[in-house]
Amino acid sequence: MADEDFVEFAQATVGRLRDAAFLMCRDWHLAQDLTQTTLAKVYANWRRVRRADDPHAYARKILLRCMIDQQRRRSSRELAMSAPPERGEEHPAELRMTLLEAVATLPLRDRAIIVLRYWDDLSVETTAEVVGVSTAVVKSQSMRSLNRLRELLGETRSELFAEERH
Amino acid sequence: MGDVRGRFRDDLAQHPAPPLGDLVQQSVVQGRRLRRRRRLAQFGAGGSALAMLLVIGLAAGPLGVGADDAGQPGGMNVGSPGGSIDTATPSPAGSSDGAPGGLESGTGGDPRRPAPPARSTTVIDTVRIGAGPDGELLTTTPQGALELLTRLLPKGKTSGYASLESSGAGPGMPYVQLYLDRGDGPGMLRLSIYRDNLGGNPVPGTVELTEVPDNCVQNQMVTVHHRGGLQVDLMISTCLFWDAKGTVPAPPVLSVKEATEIAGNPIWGTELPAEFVLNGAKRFPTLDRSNG
Repeated sequence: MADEDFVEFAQATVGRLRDAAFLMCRDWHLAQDLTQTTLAKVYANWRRVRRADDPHAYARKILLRCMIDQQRRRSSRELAMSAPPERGEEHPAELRMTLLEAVATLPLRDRAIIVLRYWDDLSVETTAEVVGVSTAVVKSQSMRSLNRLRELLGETRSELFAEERH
Repeated sequence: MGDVRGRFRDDLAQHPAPPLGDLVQQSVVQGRRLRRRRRLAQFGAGGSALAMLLVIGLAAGPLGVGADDAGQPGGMNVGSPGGSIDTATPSPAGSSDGAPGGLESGTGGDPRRPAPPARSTTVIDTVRIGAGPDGELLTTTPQGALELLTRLLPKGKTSGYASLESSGAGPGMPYVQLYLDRGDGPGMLRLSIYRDNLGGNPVPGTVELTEVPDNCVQNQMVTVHHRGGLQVDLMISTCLFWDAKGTVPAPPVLSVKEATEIAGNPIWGTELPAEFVLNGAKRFPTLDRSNG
């Protein structure tokens, strides 16, 4: 049954998909909504998706589109959850920026490239396909974004991305 | 690359995810609607086809389209707390089949009254309790418990925060209450962390469901047993409780499955990551005390 196939696929991917969404938006509720919408769209196109070479990459492509759509019609609602700056001011231990906060400063496309490459472990080629750019752009933007993250995270974490230089 | 992922993982650990609930089922329902809408749009492209569609739609609607929705788990009740209760894992013993969560029992009895004989506790599931939190830990306070609870709850507006008396509970074992409104009005939840020190505890990860049809405050209580004999109780009420004013009916705002995921979160304990305790103290500087 197609439904059973889909449910099996969805159950295998939902957690990872939602984590990726959260890493891009830093709001679990929004990540949950986006994941549900993504899976609904995957379901609606399931016949095509199941024939794709990599259904998981296809799902990520839809997630990214949902996220771009959502960003276009952004409301104040989604911003309410983000409070790290205030917390940081009141707790010196938290002044140091987390990777999540640093990634949030990147434009959405660059954020997506970082998350897809380094969290989802997608290849340069697959990342390029998901984001809809060339592999050259993925490589150059990855480098640029990692440099930016290094700057933001400061010296204590400068070694973090040492291995990323390629 | 692994290090970046490790950092992401660390950051994720600082932001516990709410339960997935029935997200997959709801996406199936939403996906079916999308597919139907798309098909209708395709059919509607031609004038004569539109006329035919109207006729066919009127004739087949209740059997085709409607049946499609009705056949879904929670299909017609997406977002409705009442609907989500129905998707909860049923008791294998079937002890509560006649009263699935007391959905309509909003006018329950006096919650201060001792639990009536109708109370039933059944082991309904076993979950994996993951590794506990790392980093600096502080003794769990009611405020810290509320902070963690509000982060684990599904989307909705919370209010009515309170700390309750918990007889026999030791340090770091609070008993807290809040209201959650997922769009259908506020419903009450209570959470307690407890260790009875009597030994003979079920294995960690055991999930019990206690149903007390006559008690609207503890109408359904999900207990997840953690390591060291600690248990986390999450009560799904069917009323709001106001001090000295009695109760008013309220919808249950969590399914048993959602409550299980929340109570089974490995972060719960007599100590919590400092972040939750400190933020809780800031966020809930004064807590009402209920005599619940």
